[in-house]
Amino acid sequence: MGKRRGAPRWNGLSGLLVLSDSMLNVNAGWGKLILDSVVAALPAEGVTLDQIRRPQIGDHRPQEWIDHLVEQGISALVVTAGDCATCTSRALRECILAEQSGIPATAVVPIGLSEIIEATLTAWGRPDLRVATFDAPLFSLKQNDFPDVMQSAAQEAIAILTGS
Amino acid sequence: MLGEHLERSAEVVATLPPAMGEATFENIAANAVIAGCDPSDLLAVVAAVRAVAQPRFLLDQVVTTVHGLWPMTFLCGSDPNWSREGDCLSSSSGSNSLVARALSLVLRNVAGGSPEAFDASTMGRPGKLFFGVAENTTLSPWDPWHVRAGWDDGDSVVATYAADSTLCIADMGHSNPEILVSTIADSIAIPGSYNAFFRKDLWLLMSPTHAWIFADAGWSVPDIAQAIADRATQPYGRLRGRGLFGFIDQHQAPAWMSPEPLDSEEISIVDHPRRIKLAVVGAPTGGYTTAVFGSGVTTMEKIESD
Repeated sequence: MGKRRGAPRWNGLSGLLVLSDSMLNVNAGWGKLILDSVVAALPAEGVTLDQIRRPQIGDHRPQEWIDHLVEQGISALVVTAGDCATCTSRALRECILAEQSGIPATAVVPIGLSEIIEATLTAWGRPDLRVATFDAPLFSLKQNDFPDVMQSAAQEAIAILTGS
Repeated sequence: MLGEHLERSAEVVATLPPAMGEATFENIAANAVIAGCDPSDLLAVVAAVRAVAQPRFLLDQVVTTVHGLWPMTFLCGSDPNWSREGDCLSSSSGSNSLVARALSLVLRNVAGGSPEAFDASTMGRPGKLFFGVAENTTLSPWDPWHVRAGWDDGDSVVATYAADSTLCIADMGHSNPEILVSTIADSIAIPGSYNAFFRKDLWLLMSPTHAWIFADAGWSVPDIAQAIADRATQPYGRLRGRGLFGFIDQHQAPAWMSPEPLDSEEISIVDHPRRIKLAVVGAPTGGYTTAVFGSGVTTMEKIESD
């Protein structure tokens, strides 16, 4: 049995959950559909949500952002990324930094970018970090298909955070 | 390859994201050997590695993006092995192409820039093999690029830029700078480039013929940059929803954009004339300017003297 390397799990399903939409908004005009899918998978009560939208392009200062979240006393973090590989890699790095700060964290990322997912988790010392994946490029989806595709990924993200 | 730098083998030149690999003199030299460099090229490769490792270069973004970005290396100085004239953007272009090839290999082998790891480029581009060019200071009508950038004339400097594809702009048969600048400006003002959205650095590699058309008419480099910034524009109505502007919604408009831009608002390809990086390269015959599209800023490092 290996030593636990990450943050403790989000046992109470309560407190402040930060959801961050880190992708370039490839579905502009549809709103924040991945975030909305995660929200729909949450219990109705007990969780306070803070949803942040910020494309992961340009200057990236993940430690500063995580330090800010720690100061806010957040209970858990979900970072979502779309078809953007930079967004995916940076989202994973933020999750690892959050975990190192004691915040349970996971990402919702496309399985089509599995190489970069594996490479990032390995490079930053957390190949064991579980992430939720969806298996279709966002660009190929119709808006009506989106909830079905995202539902299982959103539920998986919550399961990862709670350790279930 | 290491030669007199053998004692520096273990010296860490930079830690390279996204893999966070340590680029040392030793592994840089190994990649320089694979690239076909001469030992005299090593310090230029080392400087190029330092340049792309500067945080403002955003190397993790350059390597991981689905876009085809990859560094262009631009060499300024007096190295006799650099090719400054004909075919200077190609593989026959002396050691400048080998320096660029060595940098590409360092990024692949140390920074994780391969498709099996961090390079998620949708289709890449040929320039990822190498893209290295040296300034033709002999035929340039202006001060060397690095002197205009604030370095001493005796320095040798490498500049790196996260480059996309190039566009060769032909304009011949006249010597009118107004026509020439309009040809260049109209050719680069297109909606599908990253420059149209991010409005950061844009390189123009100008043949001596084009440079002297401007110089003979009394135009300075800042004059040309200002004219291009003023004229390489598109009305927002032509950009709306196209290129990277499809990303924009009410939450994610770029910081430079006015809150409710009118369709008639003219958007320049750059947010300031200083974003135009103009250098003279190539042979004396032929009127061409090669536009190097890309994303982000140019970083520079002095090449150590042997």
